[in-house]
Amino acid sequence: MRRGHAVALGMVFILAALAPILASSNPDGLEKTAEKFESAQGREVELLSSPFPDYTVYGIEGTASEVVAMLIGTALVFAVSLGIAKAVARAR
Amino acid sequence: MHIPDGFIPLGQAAVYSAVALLFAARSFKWVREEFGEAPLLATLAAGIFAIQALNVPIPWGTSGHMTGGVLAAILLGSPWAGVFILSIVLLVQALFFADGGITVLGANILNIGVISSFAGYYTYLALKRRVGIAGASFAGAWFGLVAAALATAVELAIAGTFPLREGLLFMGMYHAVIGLVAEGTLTALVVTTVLKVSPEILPARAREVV
Repeated sequence: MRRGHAVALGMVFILAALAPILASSNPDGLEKTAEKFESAQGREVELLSSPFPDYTVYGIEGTASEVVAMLIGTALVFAVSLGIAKAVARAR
Repeated sequence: MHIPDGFIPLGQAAVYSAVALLFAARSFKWVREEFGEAPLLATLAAGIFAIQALNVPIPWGTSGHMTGGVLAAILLGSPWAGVFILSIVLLVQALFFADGGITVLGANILNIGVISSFAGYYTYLALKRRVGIAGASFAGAWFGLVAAALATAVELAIAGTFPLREGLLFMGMYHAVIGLVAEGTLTALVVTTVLKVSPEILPARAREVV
């Protein structure tokens, strides 16, 4: 990994930690649109019990919970992407 | 929030999943044959995951976040980069964070990965000579996000979850603003910053295309 990558990755983790602190908690565009329509109410179902629902970690309170969840998620996305990309590239 | 489970009936969701799978598979082929820089792909994927959590407030008590497919496509010089990265980001979000449903993962990949990346990247290419890299990145990212939002509205109308006209109107309106304050601005900012500060982290082919 070149130095540029390492610096970029460091900045990514800083962004991941700051995002829950800085983010607006207003509903997003899709959520807000769904609120407007009777036909969308009560449709959402939860099929999977995810380990970090709504980007929180069980047992940790408040914003800290979201920060930890984001750091875990960012590491996870990095690891999964790296693994898949390496495996795919090796299959050449 | 991405489309949750329950918003699209299983039969329709299966069609979107099949189409998304074809595109995801083709993006794997791009990684295998044209782009082997795994650490760069992974860094960009992690960055897009992180920035998707940064909701920016917009009027009407609403917010929105960047999605990142167009950014990946511009930086790496191919819309397949956006498809590959967003497929993985959306998969992790659905499996681990309950953000976006599992049955509708294909629909989310189709909208945010495929439609956004292709619509945005080709808009960028068409405009680049005329308005420069920053302006073309902004416009491409804006259009990619709006195209994805309108596609989502159409799918949810077919599903019977949103009425067609009002769904298009509100999804279009919110995401037109989100595209200005988040997707367009941040994409132009990241692209110009990377080019200025460290263009060498980009692969040679992407540097030519940028």
